[in-house]
Amino acid sequence: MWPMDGRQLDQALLEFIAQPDETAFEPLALRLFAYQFQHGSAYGAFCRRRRRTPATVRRWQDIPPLPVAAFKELDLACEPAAYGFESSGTTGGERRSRNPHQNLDVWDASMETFFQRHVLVPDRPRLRIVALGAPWERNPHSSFSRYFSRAVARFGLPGSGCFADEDGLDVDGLLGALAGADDPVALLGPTFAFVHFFDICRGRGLRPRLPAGSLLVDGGGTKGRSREVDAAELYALAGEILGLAPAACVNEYGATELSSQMYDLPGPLPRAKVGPPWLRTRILDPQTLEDVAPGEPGLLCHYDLANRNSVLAVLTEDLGTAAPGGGIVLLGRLAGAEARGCSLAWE
Amino acid sequence: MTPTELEALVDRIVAARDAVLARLPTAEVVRRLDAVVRAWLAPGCAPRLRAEREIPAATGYHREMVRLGLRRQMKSFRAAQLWRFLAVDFTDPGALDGFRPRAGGGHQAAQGPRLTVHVCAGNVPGLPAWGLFASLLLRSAVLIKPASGEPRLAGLLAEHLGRADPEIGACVAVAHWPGGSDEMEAVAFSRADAVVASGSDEAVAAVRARVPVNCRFAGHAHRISAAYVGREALAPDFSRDTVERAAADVAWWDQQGCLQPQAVFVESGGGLAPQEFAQELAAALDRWEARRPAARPADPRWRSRWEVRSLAGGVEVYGSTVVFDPEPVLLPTALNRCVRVVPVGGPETAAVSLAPWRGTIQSVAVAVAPERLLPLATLFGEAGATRVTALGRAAVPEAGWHHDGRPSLAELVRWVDVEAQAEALAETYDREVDES
Repeated sequence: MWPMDGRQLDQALLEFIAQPDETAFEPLALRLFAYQFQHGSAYGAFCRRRRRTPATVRRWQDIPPLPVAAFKELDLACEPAAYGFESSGTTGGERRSRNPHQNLDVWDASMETFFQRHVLVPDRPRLRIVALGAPWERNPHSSFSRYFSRAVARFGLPGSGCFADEDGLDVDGLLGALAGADDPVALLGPTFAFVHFFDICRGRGLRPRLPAGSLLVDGGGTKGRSREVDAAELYALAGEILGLAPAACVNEYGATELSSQMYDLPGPLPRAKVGPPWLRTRILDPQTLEDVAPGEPGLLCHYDLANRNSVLAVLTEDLGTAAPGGGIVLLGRLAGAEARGCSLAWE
Repeated sequence: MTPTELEALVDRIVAARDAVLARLPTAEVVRRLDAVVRAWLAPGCAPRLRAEREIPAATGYHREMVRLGLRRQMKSFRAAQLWRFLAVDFTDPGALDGFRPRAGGGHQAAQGPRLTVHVCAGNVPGLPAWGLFASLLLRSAVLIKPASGEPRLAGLLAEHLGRADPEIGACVAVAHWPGGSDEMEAVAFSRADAVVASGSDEAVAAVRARVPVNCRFAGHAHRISAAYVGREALAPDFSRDTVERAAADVAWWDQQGCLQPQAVFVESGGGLAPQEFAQELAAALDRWEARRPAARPADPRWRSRWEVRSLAGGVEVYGSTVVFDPEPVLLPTALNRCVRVVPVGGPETAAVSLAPWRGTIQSVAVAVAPERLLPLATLFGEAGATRVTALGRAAVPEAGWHHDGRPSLAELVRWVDVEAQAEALAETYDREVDES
């Protein structure tokens, strides 16, 4: 197998994203691994410690997954990063995750292609897109902001926009954008922003009903926020305030450390999530890092080909199970074997 | 159990205490508790055998660790050790039996609580025994609320007491209720003269908030411990033993107790370099794992985070639970035998690492030459440590130790003073007054 340089990889990835081919996943993953092994010095060192090299790795599953914590501690860039997405530091003092990108071509293609395929309906390729998050120009380190801005730019009709900035939601702008809509609207935003927005609407006695065919995409959850709300509560609020049925609501699963997103499959809560063909997910035993038996819970380990400039194989701290009908059901974060009493433990 | 039933139970043990235990002289209490302990340790003691069988099953702790751990602990409650508890806290233990002269005039007596309530954490199986014996030594009735994580020992001890010494056994009860249950705790705490709670910071704070202001409260919340290895303990003839001692301290109770070290500070320049020490410690912990496996595996994220850090250099990860980290700080680990080995030039560096944990730091298990012991203890004590012990004995506090730096018995008693001026005034009413 001949090696590829960065440009060739970009090209091959864009082709794969445009025309996914199951059988092409593994050869492309192995080429990308060889590239990242060679150019990512920290990841190369990690693989050598695991005694895995491009010469010994024959299957995509054998590519050593890097613990997600590495994105906080190490510079993982293969090429100098022109862009870097960072996690919004949730707890004080902790370092932020950083995913370096040499350009955003692959990232954008990944996001737009799967957004189009999974979120938008075929007969309505463009609609009014209203984001409850800051645009990318205002927040260039947020992958979520990139997501909003690309959705608006690629799929938005006039009236679309991002209705937030560093200081928070532009509530009046948002209400204005919703009020004028006769055609369906796609509301995108961080989960906690929806909670906040619904609280405001309730407080003011407002119910900006959305036209039929509208939809809501939330991501990120509310863990660690001032008010924790689960999907059922959020969708009940969406029904009460916006008149949206739960079926019109979709949860997005993404991460700074990934360059692709997963979305809910239709169905009752809790729903399974699926990713695009260039993202494969294994479910691993937390101790042995071997695949769990089908249906058993384990750690999610993503192989995301769109993570071109850092590391494609990412071992998360999220728990999930394979859903019988396909996709993955998230089960929350791995809970530590916590202390039983008065001995102080980490975290 | 309902609050009414709990109230009846408390009535019963307090009445039994008033009728018999309260009237026994301390020497008699010691003698009888000693007999209780000997009967527990005797071959064939049914409650002990059940404890040795059921606690490993309920907690996952290895059966040998439970057997040996409980045995070592019960030995701290024999007569000689009980007298040591008394001697450490009272210059004149006779004050527990009645008024004794005060050095500066007047008299004083120490009264134990009528009822002590112990709210136990479930991390270490022996925990309820400390509170039980301390309270009985003060002739207090004892109500124990065991932890859901280790509900067995308290009940088995109470059962044993009931058989070995029915009169004392009648003063002890074990009751289970969900932590934070308002009605149950209102009953239990309103009748208590003292409440002792151990557990996480949150658990202890929650109990303290419910204890009436006039009730004595002693809380044992989150603690962290460390070990210190001097270069003299790393000489070729000692190093092997030193590593084994450190491994035992880390492995014992899977580090769930607050006495077990989470960092080992190792002096550079000895026969075994700190990094070699870390490697040897990992091997020794592997042997522990093979012989007495931990109840549950450590959180794998801890190791993988250190593995990630090791890619940047300096840090090394050995085995599945040992990290060599040149940064001289004390950091909590994921427990379950996870430990950091930190190289230091001398104890001053270790003391600086401990200092941010002042108020939380508990034991430091040390292996150093005799002339260094007290200077080292001074440094660590100033940094906040409350117990300096032998490396290899971290899990086994001696009888009479000051748990978290406080007296365990003196904390619970109420002193009654008869002042010298009362005696002087009394003298003026003496009809037999000397009229010379």
